[in-house]
Amino acid sequence: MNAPAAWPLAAAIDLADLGPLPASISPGAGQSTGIHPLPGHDGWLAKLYHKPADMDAAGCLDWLIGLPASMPPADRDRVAASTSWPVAALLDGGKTVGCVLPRAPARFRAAFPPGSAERYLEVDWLARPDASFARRGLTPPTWKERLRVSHDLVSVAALLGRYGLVYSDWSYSNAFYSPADHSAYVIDVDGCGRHRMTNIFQPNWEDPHAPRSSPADTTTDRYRVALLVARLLTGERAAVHVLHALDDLPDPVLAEILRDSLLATVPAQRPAAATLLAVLDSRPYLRMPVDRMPLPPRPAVTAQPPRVPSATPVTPPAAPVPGPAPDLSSYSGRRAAATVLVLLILLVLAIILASN
Amino acid sequence: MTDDMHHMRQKCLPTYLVIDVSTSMSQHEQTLNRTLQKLHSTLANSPRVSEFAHMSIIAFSTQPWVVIEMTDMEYVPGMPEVACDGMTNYGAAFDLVRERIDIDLPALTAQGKAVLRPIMFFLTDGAPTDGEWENAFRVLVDKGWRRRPHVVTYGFGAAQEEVLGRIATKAAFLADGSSGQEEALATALHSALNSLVASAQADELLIPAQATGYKSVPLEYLD
Repeated sequence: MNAPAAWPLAAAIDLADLGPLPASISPGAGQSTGIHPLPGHDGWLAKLYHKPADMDAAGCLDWLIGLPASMPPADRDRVAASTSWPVAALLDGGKTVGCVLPRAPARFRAAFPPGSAERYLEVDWLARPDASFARRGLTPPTWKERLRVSHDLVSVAALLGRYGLVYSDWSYSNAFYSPADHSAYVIDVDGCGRHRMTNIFQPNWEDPHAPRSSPADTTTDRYRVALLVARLLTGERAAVHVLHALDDLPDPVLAEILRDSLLATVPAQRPAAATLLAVLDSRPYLRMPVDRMPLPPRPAVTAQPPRVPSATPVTPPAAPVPGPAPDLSSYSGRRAAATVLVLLILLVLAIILASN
Repeated sequence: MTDDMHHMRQKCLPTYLVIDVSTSMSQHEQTLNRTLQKLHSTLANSPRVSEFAHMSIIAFSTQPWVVIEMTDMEYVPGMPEVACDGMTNYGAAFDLVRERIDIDLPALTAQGKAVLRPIMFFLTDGAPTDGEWENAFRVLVDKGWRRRPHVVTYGFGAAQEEVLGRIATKAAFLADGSSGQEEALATALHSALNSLVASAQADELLIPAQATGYKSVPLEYLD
C-alpha cells in the first residue's frame, strides 16, 4: 500500500495517542527496535528507537521533518518518490522515541526468486553479476536498468548533499529497488545528521579515510554512494574487483568519476554526488583534479564455486572408515602417498623374494 | 599492501555448521533437511550475508563428512539431503573441522579476503559415544593455534548440558522442552543464521544472549 499524499496529524505526537501498536513488520536493527503499522493510518509506519534521541538528534529530526516544506517542487517530488522521509516525531514524556515514516510503495515488493515469499527487494539483490541471475534462471538486469536504479540513488544522495545532510549508512540494505520500473527507494532517512554524524559501519563499506571512531561527513557519503553505484553497475562486490570491472562499463566517463571517488587520497577531492548525477544525466560537469592511490592488483586467485553437491541423499559411510572422510580433496594426496608406500613395500618384498 | 588498500579486502567470516546426523536424529531427518533448505535459501538470497559469512556444512555420526565445502552460498544451487544413521562421534568431527580450517582459511586469504576468526555452530541431540572427543576438542580450540574457531553449541533431545557447556567457547544453548524436538532444531538453525546476519551488519561477531525455546548453558573451560 502506498502512503497517502500527506501526513494528516501534527509533526510531533505523543506515542500514547496512537494506541497499542501492532507487531513490528521488521526485526529491530540499527537504531530501531522495530517498525510498526499505524492503526487507522494506512501507509504510515511508526519506527521506535532503542533509546530516546538526545537533544541534537531530536532537533535534527524536527528539522528534517520540516525541511520538505521549504524545498522547491522538484526536490519535494524526489523526496516523495524515492525516500522514506520522516513526517512526525513520536514523543514519550517529552522525549523523542521514534518517528513516523511513509511505507515504501508496493512496487518495491517482489517474490524474488519466483516462488519465494514476497518481500521488499533490497538493492543487495541487484548488486550481483549477470551470471548470478542466470544461475537462478532469471533474466539479468540490462545496463539501462542498472543505470536507472543508480540514477535514483544518486539523485537522493545529491539532494541530501544540497541540504548538508549526511546519511552515512549507504549500503546494500538501506535501499529498495523495483524490478517493475527499476526505480529505487532509500529508507532510514530519519537517521541523517547535519554536516556530520556517527560513522555507521557495515563490513565492506569502510571509508578508508574515516576511521571507525571519527564522524562521517559528506565526503564519507560520496565514497559510499560511489561504491554502491559501482557495485550496482558492475555487479561485482569486492572493492578490488569493482575497481577493475569499471573498465568494462559502456560509459568510460562514468567509470572515471567513480574511480575518482573510490581512489582519492584526499577525501575532499571526491566528486560530489551532484557531479556524479550530472554525468549520469549526460549534463556538463566540472571534473576537479584528484590524487588517486594506485589501482590495487586483482587477487591472483578468484573464488571458485564448490563442487556441486550431490542431488541424491548423501549417506554416511556404512562402517567406520579409518582415516579422514573420503571426499576431501586434501586426502587424495595422502591416499596417493599411501598407495606409493604400499607399492614400494611390495616391490622390496618382491626383490627380497627374488633374491632368495 | 598499504593501509589505504587494506580496506579493499572483502571481510569474510568462515562459518562451520556441524550437524549431528546420528541414528537418534532419524526421526528429525525431514525437518533437518527442510531447515537446511531454508537456511540455504535465506543465505543465497541475501548476498550481503552470504558474502560475509562463507559457510561449510559438516555432518557427523560414526564418521564426519563435508556436505558443503566452504563457499559463498550464492554459488550453491541447492542443498544435498543428509541421511541420519550411526553413532555420535564428536572427536572425528572436531578433527575434520580442524583439517578443513587449515584448508579453507588459506584459500580465502589467497582470494584477497580479510579472514576473521572462524565460527563453528555445533548442533547435537545426543551425548558423545566416543571416549576421546575431549582431546580432539582441545586441539581444535588450542589457544596456541591462530586459526582456532569460536564455538557455539545448540543441544536438544538427549544432549548433555555439561558437555554443551564444555564444548562452547562463546555460547551454549539447550532446548528447554517448551517446544517439540523438530521446532527446537529449526530454532537452532534460525538462531545461528540470525547470528550471521547480525554479525554481517555489525562488523563483529554477535551471538544472541538468548534463543527462543532454549536456555543458556554456563560455559566451562577445559583448562
